[in-house]
Amino acid sequence: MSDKSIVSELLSAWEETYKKGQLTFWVLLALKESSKCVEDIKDFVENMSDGSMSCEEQSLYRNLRKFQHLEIVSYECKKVSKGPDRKYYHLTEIGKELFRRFTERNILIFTKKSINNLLID
Amino acid sequence: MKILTFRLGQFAVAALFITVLFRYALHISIGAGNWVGNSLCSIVYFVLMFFIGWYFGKKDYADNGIHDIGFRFHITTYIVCIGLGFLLYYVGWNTETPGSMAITALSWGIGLLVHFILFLMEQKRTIKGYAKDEIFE
Repeated sequence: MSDKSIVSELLSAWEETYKKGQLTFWVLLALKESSKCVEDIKDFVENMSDGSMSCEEQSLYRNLRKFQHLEIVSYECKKVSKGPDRKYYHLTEIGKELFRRFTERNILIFTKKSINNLLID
Repeated sequence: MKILTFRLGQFAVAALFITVLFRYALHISIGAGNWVGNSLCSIVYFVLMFFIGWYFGKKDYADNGIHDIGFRFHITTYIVCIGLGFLLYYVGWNTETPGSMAITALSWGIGLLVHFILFLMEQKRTIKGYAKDEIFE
Protein backbone atom coordinates (compact mmCIF):
# COMPACT_ATOMS: atom_id res chain seq x y z
CA MET A 1 0.00 0.00 0.00
CA SER A 2 1.43 3.39 -1.01
CA ASP A 3 1.89 6.22 1.48
CA LYS A 4 -0.78 8.21 -0.35
CA SER A 5 -3.43 5.54 -0.01
CA ILE A 6 -2.53 4.95 3.66
CA VAL A 7 -3.00 8.66 4.32
CA SER A 8 -6.36 8.59 2.51
CA GLU A 9 -7.55 5.62 4.52
CA LEU A 10 -6.34 7.09 7.79
CA LEU A 11 -7.99 10.40 6.89
CA SER A 12 -11.33 8.67 6.24
CA ALA A 13 -11.12 6.77 9.51
CA TRP A 14 -10.19 9.93 11.44
CA GLU A 15 -12.94 11.98 9.80
CA GLU A 16 -15.49 9.31 10.53
CA THR A 17 -14.66 9.51 14.21
CA TYR A 18 -14.26 13.29 14.19
CA LYS A 19 -17.65 13.88 12.59
CA LYS A 20 -19.48 11.96 15.29
CA GLY A 21 -21.11 14.58 17.44
CA GLN A 22 -20.57 17.32 14.85
CA LEU A 23 -24.11 17.32 13.48
CA THR A 24 -25.46 18.94 16.64
CA PHE A 25 -22.93 21.76 16.32
CA TRP A 26 -23.90 22.48 12.71
CA VAL A 27 -27.63 22.27 13.40
CA LEU A 28 -27.41 24.66 16.34
CA LEU A 29 -25.14 26.97 14.34
CA ALA A 30 -27.76 27.04 11.58
CA LEU A 31 -30.44 27.94 14.10
CA LYS A 32 -28.24 30.57 15.73
CA GLU A 33 -28.19 32.40 12.40
CA SER A 34 -32.00 32.41 12.08
CA SER A 35 -35.03 30.18 12.48
CA LYS A 36 -35.15 27.55 9.77
CA CYS A 37 -37.17 24.64 8.49
CA VAL A 38 -35.55 21.21 8.07
CA GLU A 39 -34.75 21.74 4.39
CA ASP A 40 -33.05 25.07 5.15
CA ILE A 41 -31.03 23.50 7.99
CA LYS A 42 -29.86 20.74 5.65
CA ASP A 43 -28.82 23.30 3.01
CA PHE A 44 -27.04 25.43 5.60
CA VAL A 45 -25.08 22.47 7.00
CA GLU A 46 -24.00 21.22 3.59
CA ASN A 47 -23.13 24.64 2.18
CA MET A 48 -21.39 26.11 5.23
CA SER A 49 -19.30 22.99 5.80
CA ASP A 50 -18.26 23.02 2.12
CA GLY A 51 -19.91 19.63 1.74
CA SER A 52 -17.79 17.95 4.41
CA MET A 53 -20.94 17.40 6.50
CA SER A 54 -24.03 15.82 5.04
CA CYS A 55 -27.23 14.84 6.78
CA GLU A 56 -30.41 13.00 5.97
CA GLU A 57 -33.68 14.85 6.57
CA GLN A 58 -34.90 11.85 8.57
CA SER A 59 -31.94 12.15 10.90
CA LEU A 60 -32.53 15.90 11.27
CA TYR A 61 -36.19 15.36 12.16
CA ARG A 62 -35.24 12.75 14.77
CA ASN A 63 -32.63 15.06 16.31
CA LEU A 64 -34.89 18.10 16.29
CA ARG A 65 -37.67 16.12 17.97
CA LYS A 66 -35.21 15.06 20.64
CA PHE A 67 -33.86 18.61 21.08
CA GLN A 68 -37.39 19.91 21.33
CA HIS A 69 -38.20 17.52 24.19
CA LEU A 70 -34.96 18.58 25.85
CA GLU A 71 -36.02 22.24 25.37
CA ILE A 72 -32.93 23.08 23.32
CA VAL A 73 -35.05 24.10 20.35
CA SER A 74 -38.63 25.10 19.81
CA TYR A 75 -40.65 25.70 16.66
CA GLU A 76 -43.50 27.62 15.20
CA CYS A 77 -45.63 26.61 12.25
CA LYS A 78 -45.66 28.91 9.26
CA LYS A 79 -47.93 28.76 6.29
CA VAL A 80 -46.39 28.01 2.92
CA SER A 81 -47.99 28.55 -0.47
CA LYS A 82 -48.24 24.81 -1.20
CA GLY A 83 -48.76 21.86 1.12
CA PRO A 84 -49.14 21.70 4.91
CA ASP A 85 -47.73 24.26 7.37
CA ARG A 86 -43.98 24.03 7.82
CA LYS A 87 -42.20 23.88 11.18
CA TYR A 88 -39.60 26.62 11.65
CA TYR A 89 -37.17 25.78 14.44
CA HIS A 90 -35.29 28.25 16.63
CA LEU A 91 -32.99 28.05 19.65
CA THR A 92 -34.55 28.43 23.07
CA GLU A 93 -32.75 30.24 25.90
CA ILE A 94 -31.39 26.86 27.07
CA GLY A 95 -30.24 26.14 23.50
CA LYS A 96 -28.51 29.52 23.19
CA GLU A 97 -26.73 29.08 26.52
CA LEU A 98 -25.72 25.50 25.69
CA PHE A 99 -24.34 26.54 22.30
CA ARG A 100 -22.51 29.55 23.73
CA ARG A 101 -20.80 27.49 26.43
CA PHE A 102 -19.96 24.63 24.07
CA THR A 103 -18.35 26.90 21.47
CA GLU A 104 -16.51 28.83 24.16
CA ARG A 105 -14.93 25.64 25.51
CA ASN A 106 -14.44 23.64 22.33
CA ILE A 107 -14.47 25.82 19.22
CA LEU A 108 -13.16 29.28 20.04
CA ILE A 109 -9.93 27.75 21.30
CA PHE A 110 -8.96 27.31 17.63
CA THR A 111 -9.11 31.07 17.13
CA LYS A 112 -6.20 31.57 19.57
CA LYS A 113 -3.34 33.11 17.65
CA SER A 114 -0.77 30.52 18.77
CA ILE A 115 -2.95 27.62 17.63
CA ASN A 116 -4.01 29.42 14.48
CA ASN A 117 -0.39 29.97 13.49
CA LEU A 118 0.31 26.27 13.88
CA LEU A 119 -2.74 25.35 11.82
CA ILE A 120 -1.87 27.53 8.85
CA ASP A 121 1.85 26.77 9.02
CA MET B 1 -39.68 12.30 29.86
CA LYS B 2 -42.27 12.00 27.15
CA ILE B 3 -44.41 9.04 28.22
CA LEU B 4 -47.22 8.78 25.69
CA THR B 5 -46.00 8.45 22.13
CA PHE B 6 -47.75 7.70 18.87
CA ARG B 7 -46.10 4.27 18.59
CA LEU B 8 -47.05 3.37 22.15
CA GLY B 9 -50.64 4.29 21.28
CA GLN B 10 -50.50 2.08 18.19
CA PHE B 11 -49.11 -0.74 20.31
CA ALA B 12 -51.87 -0.33 22.93
CA VAL B 13 -54.59 -0.48 20.27
CA ALA B 14 -53.02 -3.55 18.63
CA ALA B 15 -52.56 -5.25 22.04
CA LEU B 16 -56.18 -4.49 22.92
CA PHE B 17 -57.39 -5.99 19.66
CA ILE B 18 -55.25 -9.12 19.97
CA THR B 19 -56.23 -9.60 23.63
CA VAL B 20 -59.94 -9.39 22.82
CA LEU B 21 -59.44 -11.96 20.02
CA PHE B 22 -57.45 -14.19 22.38
CA ARG B 23 -60.03 -13.99 25.14
CA TYR B 24 -62.82 -14.72 22.65
CA ALA B 25 -60.95 -17.75 21.26
CA LEU B 26 -60.35 -18.89 24.83
CA HIS B 27 -64.03 -18.38 25.65
CA ILE B 28 -65.03 -20.66 22.74
CA SER B 29 -62.28 -23.16 23.47
CA ILE B 30 -63.04 -23.45 27.20
CA GLY B 31 -66.75 -23.71 26.42
CA ALA B 32 -66.01 -26.68 24.14
CA GLY B 33 -63.61 -28.23 26.66
CA ASN B 34 -60.84 -28.18 24.07
CA TRP B 35 -57.63 -28.11 26.13
CA VAL B 36 -55.37 -28.37 23.08
CA GLY B 37 -57.16 -25.32 21.69
CA ASN B 38 -56.57 -23.45 24.94
CA SER B 39 -52.83 -24.11 24.78
CA LEU B 40 -52.69 -23.21 21.09
CA CYS B 41 -54.53 -19.91 21.72
CA SER B 42 -52.07 -19.04 24.48
CA ILE B 43 -49.02 -19.80 22.33
CA VAL B 44 -50.33 -17.78 19.36
CA TYR B 45 -51.26 -14.94 21.73
CA PHE B 46 -47.78 -14.91 23.25
CA VAL B 47 -46.09 -14.90 19.83
CA LEU B 48 -48.32 -12.11 18.50
CA MET B 49 -47.86 -9.95 21.59
CA PHE B 50 -44.11 -10.46 21.49
CA PHE B 51 -44.02 -9.54 17.80
CA ILE B 52 -46.06 -6.31 18.12
CA GLY B 53 -44.05 -5.29 21.20
CA TRP B 54 -40.83 -5.82 19.30
CA TYR B 55 -42.13 -4.08 16.16
CA PHE B 56 -43.66 -0.97 17.75
CA GLY B 57 -40.91 -0.76 20.38
CA LYS B 58 -38.27 -0.62 17.69
CA LYS B 59 -40.24 2.02 15.74
CA ASP B 60 -40.78 4.04 18.91
CA TYR B 61 -37.07 4.06 19.68
CA ALA B 62 -36.23 5.07 16.10
CA ASP B 63 -38.75 7.94 16.26
CA ASN B 64 -38.13 9.24 19.76
CA GLY B 65 -34.97 7.65 21.16
CA ILE B 66 -36.52 7.43 24.63
CA HIS B 67 -34.34 5.27 26.87
CA ASP B 68 -36.79 3.49 29.19
CA ILE B 69 -35.55 -0.12 28.79
CA GLY B 70 -39.03 -1.07 27.53
CA PHE B 71 -40.84 -0.13 30.74
CA ARG B 72 -43.61 1.94 29.09
CA PHE B 73 -44.43 -0.94 26.75
CA HIS B 74 -44.30 -3.44 29.61
CA ILE B 75 -46.72 -1.54 31.83
CA THR B 76 -49.06 -0.97 28.87
CA THR B 77 -49.07 -4.72 28.17
CA TYR B 78 -49.78 -5.41 31.86
CA ILE B 79 -52.70 -3.00 31.99
CA VAL B 80 -54.22 -4.29 28.74
CA CYS B 81 -53.78 -8.02 29.48
CA ILE B 82 -54.77 -8.01 33.14
CA GLY B 83 -57.40 -5.28 32.90
CA LEU B 84 -59.13 -6.78 29.90
CA GLY B 85 -58.91 -10.28 31.42
CA PHE B 86 -60.90 -9.17 34.49
CA LEU B 87 -63.28 -7.02 32.45
CA LEU B 88 -64.21 -9.82 30.07
CA TYR B 89 -64.64 -12.27 32.94
CA TYR B 90 -67.19 -9.97 34.54
CA VAL B 91 -68.86 -9.48 31.14
CA GLY B 92 -69.51 -13.21 31.26
CA TRP B 93 -66.96 -14.77 28.91
CA ASN B 94 -65.56 -18.20 29.76
CA THR B 95 -62.01 -17.48 30.80
CA GLU B 96 -59.66 -18.02 33.71
CA THR B 97 -61.08 -17.86 37.22
CA PRO B 98 -60.63 -14.59 39.15
CA GLY B 99 -58.27 -16.45 41.53
CA SER B 100 -56.05 -17.57 38.68
CA MET B 101 -56.07 -14.09 37.17
CA ALA B 102 -55.20 -12.56 40.54
CA ILE B 103 -52.19 -14.90 40.86
CA THR B 104 -51.08 -13.92 37.33
CA ALA B 105 -51.57 -10.23 38.15
CA LEU B 106 -49.58 -10.58 41.37
CA SER B 107 -46.66 -12.60 40.01
CA TRP B 108 -46.46 -10.49 36.86
CA GLY B 109 -46.81 -7.39 39.07
CA ILE B 110 -43.69 -8.44 40.99
CA GLY B 111 -41.83 -8.74 37.66
CA LEU B 112 -43.17 -5.33 36.67
CA LEU B 113 -41.97 -3.87 39.96
CA VAL B 114 -38.47 -5.24 39.38
CA HIS B 115 -38.55 -3.75 35.88
CA PHE B 116 -39.65 -0.42 37.39
CA ILE B 117 -36.72 -0.44 39.83
CA LEU B 118 -34.31 -1.18 36.97
CA PHE B 119 -35.96 1.60 34.97
CA LEU B 120 -35.45 4.08 37.84
CA MET B 121 -31.80 3.02 38.18
CA GLU B 122 -31.29 3.46 34.44
CA GLN B 123 -32.73 6.98 34.59
CA LYS B 124 -29.51 8.13 36.29
CA ARG B 125 -27.85 7.59 32.92
CA THR B 126 -30.34 9.87 31.15
CA ILE B 127 -31.41 13.48 30.79
CA LYS B 128 -35.19 13.77 30.56
CA GLY B 129 -35.40 10.15 29.42
CA TYR B 130 -32.65 10.33 26.76
CA ALA B 131 -29.44 8.35 27.28
CA LYS B 132 -26.67 10.92 27.81
CA ASP B 133 -24.35 9.24 25.32
CA GLU B 134 -27.03 9.16 22.62
CA ILE B 135 -28.34 12.73 22.76
CA PHE B 136 -25.81 14.34 20.47
CA GLU B 137 -24.93 12.92 17.07
